[in-house]
Amino acid sequence: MARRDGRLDPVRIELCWNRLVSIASEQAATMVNSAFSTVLGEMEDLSAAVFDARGVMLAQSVQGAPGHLGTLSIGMDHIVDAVGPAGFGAGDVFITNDPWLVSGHKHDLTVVTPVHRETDLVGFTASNCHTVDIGGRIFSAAAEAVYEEGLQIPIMKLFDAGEPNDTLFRIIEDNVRSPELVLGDLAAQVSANHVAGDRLRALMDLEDLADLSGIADEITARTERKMRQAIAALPDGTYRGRVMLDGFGEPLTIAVAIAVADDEIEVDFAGTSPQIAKGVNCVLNYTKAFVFYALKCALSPDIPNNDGTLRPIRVSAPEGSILNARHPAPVGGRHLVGLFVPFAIFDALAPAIPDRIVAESSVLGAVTLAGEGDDDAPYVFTFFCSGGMGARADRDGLDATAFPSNVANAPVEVIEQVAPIRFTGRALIPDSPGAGRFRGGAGQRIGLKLRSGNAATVSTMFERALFPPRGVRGGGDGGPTRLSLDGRPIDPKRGFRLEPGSEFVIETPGGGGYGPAGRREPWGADGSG
Amino acid sequence: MPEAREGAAGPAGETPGRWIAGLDIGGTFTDVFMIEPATAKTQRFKSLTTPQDPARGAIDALRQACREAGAAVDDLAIVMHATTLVSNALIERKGVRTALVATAGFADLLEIAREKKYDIYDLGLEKPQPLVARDACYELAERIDADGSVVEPLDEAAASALIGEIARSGAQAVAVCLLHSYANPRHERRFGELLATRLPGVACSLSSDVLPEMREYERATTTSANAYVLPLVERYLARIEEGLAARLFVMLSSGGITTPDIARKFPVRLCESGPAAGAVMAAEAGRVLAAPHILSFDMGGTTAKTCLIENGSPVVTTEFEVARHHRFKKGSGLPLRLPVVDMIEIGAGGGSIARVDDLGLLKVGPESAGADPGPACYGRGGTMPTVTDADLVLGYLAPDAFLGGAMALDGEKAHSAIRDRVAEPLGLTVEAAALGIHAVVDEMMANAARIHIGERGLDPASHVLVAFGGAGPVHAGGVARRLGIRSFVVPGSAGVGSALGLLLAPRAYRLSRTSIGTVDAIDWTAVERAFREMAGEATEVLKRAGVAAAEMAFTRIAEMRYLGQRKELAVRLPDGRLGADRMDAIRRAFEAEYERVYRRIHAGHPVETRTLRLVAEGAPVVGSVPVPPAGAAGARPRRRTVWLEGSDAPSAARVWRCDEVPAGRRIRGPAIFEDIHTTVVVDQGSVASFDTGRNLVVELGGGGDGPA
Repeated sequence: MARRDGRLDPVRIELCWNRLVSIASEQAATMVNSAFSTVLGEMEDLSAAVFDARGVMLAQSVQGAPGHLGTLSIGMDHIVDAVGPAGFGAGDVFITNDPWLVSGHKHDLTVVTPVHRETDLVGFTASNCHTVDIGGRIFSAAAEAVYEEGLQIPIMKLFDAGEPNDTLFRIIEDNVRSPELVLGDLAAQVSANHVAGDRLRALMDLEDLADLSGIADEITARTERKMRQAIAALPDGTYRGRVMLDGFGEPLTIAVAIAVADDEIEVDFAGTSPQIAKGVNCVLNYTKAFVFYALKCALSPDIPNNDGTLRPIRVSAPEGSILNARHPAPVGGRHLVGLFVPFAIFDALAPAIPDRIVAESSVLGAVTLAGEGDDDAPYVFTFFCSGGMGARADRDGLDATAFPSNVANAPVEVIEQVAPIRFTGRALIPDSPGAGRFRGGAGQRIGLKLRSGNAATVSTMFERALFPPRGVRGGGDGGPTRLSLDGRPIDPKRGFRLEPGSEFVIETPGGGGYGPAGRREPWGADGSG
Repeated sequence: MPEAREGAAGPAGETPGRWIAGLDIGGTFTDVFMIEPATAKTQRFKSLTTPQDPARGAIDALRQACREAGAAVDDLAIVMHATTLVSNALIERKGVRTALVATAGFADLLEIAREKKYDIYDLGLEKPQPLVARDACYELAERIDADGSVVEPLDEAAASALIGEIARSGAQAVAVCLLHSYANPRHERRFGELLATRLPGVACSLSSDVLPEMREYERATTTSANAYVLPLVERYLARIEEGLAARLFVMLSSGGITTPDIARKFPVRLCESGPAAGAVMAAEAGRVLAAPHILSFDMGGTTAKTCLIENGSPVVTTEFEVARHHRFKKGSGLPLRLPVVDMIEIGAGGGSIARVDDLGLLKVGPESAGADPGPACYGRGGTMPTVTDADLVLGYLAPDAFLGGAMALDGEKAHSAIRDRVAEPLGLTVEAAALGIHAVVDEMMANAARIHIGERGLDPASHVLVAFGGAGPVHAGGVARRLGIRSFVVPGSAGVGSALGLLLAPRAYRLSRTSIGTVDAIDWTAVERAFREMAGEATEVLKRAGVAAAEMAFTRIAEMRYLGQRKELAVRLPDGRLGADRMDAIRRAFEAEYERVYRRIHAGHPVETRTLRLVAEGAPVVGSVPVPPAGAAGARPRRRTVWLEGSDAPSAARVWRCDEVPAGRRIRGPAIFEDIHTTVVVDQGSVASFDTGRNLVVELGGGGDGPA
């Protein structure tokens, strides 16, 4: 390789950047492949990233959850501040799950590994993963304070100069329901960070880099410039948007004002509902992640993410609101609110960039069944299901695909192997898509019965029953969430008891339409179904 | 272009006096490699593929190759064939009108798919269209449970009515995918019988035959793909057999050779037939060199492909995608589950276009100038700078020696394209810009290979790179250095690699079954029985391919994981009868593999088997390939100015024609070796020599390499 005295010409920047994105992606792949839990393995509710010695994020894994975008970067700032540069020794590994420091609930374990080259601290590798259990209540929105939501780990050493912190491991082990899964996933995070650290050192050797800060400055400056150009192309002004959620008994509002001035954006959520005593409140980091996500989709989808993307954007929300919850608000199921942030952003920006938004979409729904099988062995099983994605400016929404969440379904055959249930059907709902010049995607109807002779406890977490996905620019609304037991409607957020012989049916929402439908044929009739 | 070669070695021929041919029909070229075992004569032939009538193209290519060899088509004893027919039909949607029959309530399974987006930022995302239209998906009243028990018997009257409906729809093929048919195929088989009786002219694929494994969506896409191409493959093979007296074998995606009857039944398994043959050729080079770890690197005009060869065999996976919506985005294609050489493809080839993006950085590909207009230096109107243009500016390619001089390259055009579109915007000299293009494309390939190797717990540095394809040997040194690989090899028959690979592939058959349970609880006697049944079936198939029972080798593999994990590891089970008393040995086999890949084990955590796989292999039809002649001694090289990575000044490279260098002579870089099909670049400090098999072995020297 050419030695150019450490000079960073555009060729070397490209070579290094490409490699850095791969390193973060390999880090994520290592976690997914050696994970023990389906949350990590199937849902990929995770993110991985590499940083320079200052904590500037250079690259983030391609795979990962939208809700993690940027939270790791913000979290790293907190950790670098708290520990101080001298506090990071070779062989150390740090951990925290403080919701207010990183990604908004205790189920996300953040693991940070300093990377040393000889004795110099040259960077960090970090990951953030949803663990299967963290003690406290079962993963839900039921808590009234964060204390009920399990074990909280402040910023601590998980390994000290290569030696495991046995005290902390024992505390975790004794506080969680399935320690072998939790610790197995944690081990996957630790070793993925190590792999990425090795790769960073190899990159520095190969490209003859003394530190990562020079390349970090080049990458983030170019990304920031591009983001600023995209923002500058928006007409200056303040754009307002609003979205309504079913909430718990009372609807919740997300209100947003987006002020575009020159090449910067200020996003403020004044007017958003106050925090509630249910675990759906978002910390500001998490709110920011979904703001960044929505703006990146609309303005700069092609550029690998790093700190440069975030610099021209400022986000604020009233303290004590559902988007900037004050400790000790419960936050366990914060995605139930956070997933709606992009719709508020798109609602606001629709007049400015009508061709770069989507109509409202179904968000992810979850069903948990617990009971005893015919052999009296207890089981707990959760599965997720999506409705339709909203229509786009130039094409229909995708059927049975949620937005912004991104989780694969579990095959019917797999669920029937592990849980004593039998599905009665799984089909698209023809009248669920919002009508429009471009239609929303179809929701689906999923029916199931118990195979066991024992009744089961079912808990469900669904939104969009009262406020189905709205169409945009004259497009129609999608069909709502509907849950029923033997034909009788049931509450989408309250649990119920499923008796043998009864049929439980879920109907997920259709996506909103885009533009007036005019004379377009119904769904399925023009071959588009 | 064709050339005859004579060799000294006498291979183990089985039909004296007659020829054995490998026929590889690719998207652009048709390659034939023939040998006559009795005389050790060989013949290479290359022509353009005629996509309009592939069966006729196949026969024509064989006829012409035979003519060049002074033989007739009737002198062919055996023809081994690789084809892109299946992948083309799937990509271009040129299969037959196909219906899908699913369990009542689940006819939307192809539309619902897996609910996941392959790119979370792309709001314009499109998912692959199913091969079967929604209105051609039918429901059949029946239900089988997860344990294989019948919950609701097949409604024969409804089945009969459904068959009538399918007949009226005009479907030419039917895929049947009923829930849990991997556990109990009874309903699928019964429906298949009814269909065969009522509609004998309609092709039928049952998911319990094509892929008896759990996960209904992937089983349905694979089965529907099989049905969709079945009539095409049937007609195609029948026509080739009509035109040939020779015995026909067909290359599977897994790198094994099979008989036409298996290919007709499971045509979807031919999907990666050609690339698999290339991997077998690379494996053969590794065998000759006694290198246990090979990285196969095939770089052509638009893409580069790499795969791993471990201990003589290409690494095979069962997860595969075809017809990607975004060619290089994982998850954007139709998932197929079939044994396939684990190959990664990236959008970097000789025709890949270099540009400066709006961040001011140099990008290469995936856009390609293709063959028309092609790189700027082709002089056919292309103005975009490509990798080939960079290679020309750097002196790696000679303007007058491309394709053996058949095509002149225009250095001026290459120079100005790079100057205008890359060098000036970046403020670099043209040569520095060309070196940049070269470095970026090498890094893209090295990067992809690094991840591929790393995910398997292997170290790139312990591999030998085997380079072929038109552009592979030009870039092999750069890719190898970036991976920390210390040597690369260009096989003697690099230009017709896949056709040669066909001759060397084992006759093979693979089967699988779902079998779920933890190591300490599963019924190992039942597992042993399942393996015996699979072995019985494979024995029959290999017998029909002419393999004697004594020459068959069986490998028993279980896909295992720690209970709860997503990803299984393929674990070779210990030899001997399986039973409960072997549990410890089986667990140890899993943990050894797990530790190799993930560098740790989880002692005491339950281990689960998910899928059983049997690999049955017989010997290749051809044992070895005659060695082409050694170069004439005394030839003198020409000289050319080249620009090499890591140096700011040009160097004088000696330029050799491959066929004029005798075996064993050690030549120091900078040097260039030219052949009709390719050019090999040997940089400063590296040493190249031909072995007696005409493989060019390059040992990379010091000069700027670094660890991966």
